[in-house]
Parts: sequence; structure tokens; C-alpha cells
Amino acid sequence: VTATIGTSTIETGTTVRPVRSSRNLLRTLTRSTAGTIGFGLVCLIVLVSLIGPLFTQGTLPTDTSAMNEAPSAAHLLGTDSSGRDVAIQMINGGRTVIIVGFLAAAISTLIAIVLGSLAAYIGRAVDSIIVSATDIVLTIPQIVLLAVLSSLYHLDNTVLLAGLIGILSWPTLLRAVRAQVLSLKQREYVEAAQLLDLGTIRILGVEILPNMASFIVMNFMIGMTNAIYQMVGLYFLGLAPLSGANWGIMLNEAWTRGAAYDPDTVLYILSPVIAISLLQLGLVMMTRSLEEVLNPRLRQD
Amino acid sequence: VLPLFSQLAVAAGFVVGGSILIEQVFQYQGIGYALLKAVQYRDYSLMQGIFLAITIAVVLANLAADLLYGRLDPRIRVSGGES
Repeated sequence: VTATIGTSTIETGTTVRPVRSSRNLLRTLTRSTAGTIGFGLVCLIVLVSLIGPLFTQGTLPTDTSAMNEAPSAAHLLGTDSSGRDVAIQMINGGRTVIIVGFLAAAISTLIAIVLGSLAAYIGRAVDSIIVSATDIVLTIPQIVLLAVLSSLYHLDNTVLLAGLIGILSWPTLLRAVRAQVLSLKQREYVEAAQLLDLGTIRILGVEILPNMASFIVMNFMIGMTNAIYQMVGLYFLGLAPLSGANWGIMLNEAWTRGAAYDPDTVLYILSPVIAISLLQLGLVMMTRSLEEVLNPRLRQD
Repeated sequence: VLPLFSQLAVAAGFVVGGSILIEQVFQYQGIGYALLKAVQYRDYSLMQGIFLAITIAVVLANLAADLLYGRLDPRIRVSGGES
């Protein structure tokens, strides 16, 4: 039965409708082991970071009697140099990281898809303007520009930070989208749509983009990992204001206060590192099963 | 190979810019470390100098890539008139 689902391919020209019911979606999602593990990891981290802060204390008081403690029953991951519980900080600190990653990836993917497909589809002057703009943005080192911008502006707003990272990281994806659309627009079904005079937006949105859905989702995930990496890097360098709680700030404080050199507090610096790595790993592994969901030809039976 | 080659050119340009993160972690006194210090102390002229160095490196790397394209793929060679 599964073989008949989602057999529509690019050649036949119908838009890809890979899964019809949520049961099939679940089955496809869990088909590849790596994908399942990644999916579980991401779900776990996202759930803990979004729901966890509802059950924990918002701002932890400084407790000088419990500085740099080793892990114990009261403090599962020990305490930091201000006597605050590391485990609670970990739960509170995930939200910003995930929100910034998601928003930045969404912004950059949106820019890349809209401009990239328009450049490839309309061509001529639009194409050359967009491509040269892309080349210019591509040659700007992002982390350097972010560092300078953070010295000029106070980047304590999560959305602002996400927006900044987002509007700097679209060029590579735009190039890839443009190349894909350039090849897809030569297909017969696009020509047929053009003959029917369906309009640029409809042809791009309904005929071309669904065929690159897997590609876009994959790049969205990769964009998310890059955005998280850049954001945490910014916090680690101490360039973004160290207010509130997130994994980047924890990493910065643990590093500057030398938590790596004390066996009792090693978990303090390791836990944000491990959490970020697991989130990144989960995202990358998740793309594999998402790819199978959206691209039926990749499914292994 | 050619798209990869242009990526390589961009990456080669950024080599001069250094990796701020790595240089900070290992206290490597490179150009990225200098840039970070410049940002922290608001030393704008030092920042400008470092940007100039990075820009020159990127431009030169791209120029080298453009010149080498013709060697890698003769079809790309632009004909300057009658061949």
C-alpha cells in the first residue's frame, strides 16, 4: 500500500503529495533510524526548553554558601560560581537559543526562496541585480559583521538578533535555490502552465516550489544549525549583552570564570556545550527522515 | 567542480580574516583576536585596517579564482573578439 502513496514524481508534473494521513507520516518519519533519533532529540530539547521554564524559578538568587559545588542530589549538575543551580539554568536557557535559531532560519530561507526563485524565473535584469547583490553579501564575513554591529547596537532583543543573523545568512541558499529553479523551469509542465498564462506567482508557488520542498526543508534545518552556532558564538565572545539566561551566556560565564579547570564544575561548562551539540546533531539527523517524507524516491523499502 | 572552486575562493579569502572564535578559545594572537580586541575597546581605526586587509584578501582570492576558471574549464574562456 505504501508504494502507491506519493508516487507522483517531477517527471509526471503533478505536485508531490507524499503523505496523506498522519499515520503514514509517522511511519515514514520513523523509517530511518538516524532520522528517528534526531527527531526524538529535537522534540525532547524543544519540549524541555519551552515547557520547562514554566516549572522552574525565573531568576535564580546568588547563593554564596554554595559556590562551585559538585553535582549532588540537590543540584543535579552542580552550581556555578554564583551558587546558582546549573540544571535549572539549562532548562531556562534553551528557549532563546531555539527561538533565535528558528526565526533566523525562517527569515533567511524566506529571503532566499523569494529572491532566488524570482531571479531564476524572471531572469535578465532582475537576475543580474539579485545575483550581484548576493555576491556582495556573500563576501562579507558574517561573524565579523555581527561582532562590529554588536559593538554599535545593544543586541539584547531576541527578535533583533534573530533578524540580524537571518538577513546575513541567505546568500548561499539563494544561489542553490536559483540553480534549482533554473533547471525546473525548463520542464514541460512549467511550459504548460506558462501557456495557460497562470501568472508568475502561481507558477512559482504551485508548480515549482513544491518540487523543491525537501531541498528547502533540508536547508532550513542547516540554516537553523548555522544560526544557533553564530548566536552562541556571539554570546561566547561576550559581544551580545549578557542579560537573561541562555546557553551562550552560560558558556561565556563558565569559560571566563575558569569552570573548565575545576573537576567539580566541569559539568557547568560541559552541559551547555553538550546541549547545543545534541540539538545541532538532532537537527541534522532529522533532515534525513524529513527528506524521505518529502521526496518519495529516496524511501528505502 | 566549478561551483566548489568559487566556494573555495571565498573561503580562501576569509582565511586572512581568521576565525574569531577559535582564536579566542586558544588565545591565538591572530588577526581575528586583534579584531575582537578592537571591537571590545571601540578602536575603530584598527577595525578599519583589519577590514581593509580582509577585503584585499577576498578580492585577490576571487580574482585568482576567476583567472583560474579558464584553466580548469576551457569552455568558460571569454573570447576577446575573433578567435
